[in-house]
Amino acid sequence: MRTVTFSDASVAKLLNDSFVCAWINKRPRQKFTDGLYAGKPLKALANGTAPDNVTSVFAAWDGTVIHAMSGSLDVDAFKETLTFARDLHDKVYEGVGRKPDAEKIYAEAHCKAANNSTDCLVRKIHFRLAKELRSIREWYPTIFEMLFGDDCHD
Amino acid sequence: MNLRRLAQFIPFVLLTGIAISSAQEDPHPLCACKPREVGASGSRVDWDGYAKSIRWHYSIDEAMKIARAEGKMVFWQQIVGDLDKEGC
Repeated sequence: MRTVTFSDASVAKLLNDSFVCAWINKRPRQKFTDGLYAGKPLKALANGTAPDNVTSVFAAWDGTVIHAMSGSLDVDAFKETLTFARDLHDKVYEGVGRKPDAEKIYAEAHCKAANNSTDCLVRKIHFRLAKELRSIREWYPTIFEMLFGDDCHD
Repeated sequence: MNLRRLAQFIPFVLLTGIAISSAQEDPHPLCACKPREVGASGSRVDWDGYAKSIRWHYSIDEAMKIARAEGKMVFWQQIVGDLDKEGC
């Protein structure tokens, strides 16, 4: 994602304009050789590649997770995911506070997105997210179990 | 099995168990989903340009404080590796 998606100028503008960005290394003990892919004719990885290695989490200022997507995302898929998160945030939040029916709006939006998706991974993630609003602080230790604990069916 | 043989066997079982458990760094099974599409959008940027145009913070707490002050959302990328080095 860093070589293609996060290096795309339009993605950078979207992120810088509406988000404060942070990253975390999920497995710092795992080492990579610098320049591993340098010189190779790389293109973006297929969407959904390495779902256990990469997760993009979009949250409100208070840490409430609005949307998350696992696996590598190319430029178009990342923009689509970001736009869904931003639009849903604007429906759920009013100023700095949540609307009274925030949980209902949130759940309905994710269920609708799941039903409209033909991709099993995306459907699974939307359905899982629809079950509850969670804080980003509760999110980190259990992300894999939350999203991929069950069998995934095509 | 006499006691002497049992005493020899137990350390072997323990060492084998430790070796197997330490080799399984990530115990979670991979999702069986196939990648969604081939020929993804976007083109590679040269090594020096990796993610340079996005303002990244290492701490999620710092990001949340800034997001509150600036009225923005938080984007949190969980990866394997470091953004300034190789990895996913």
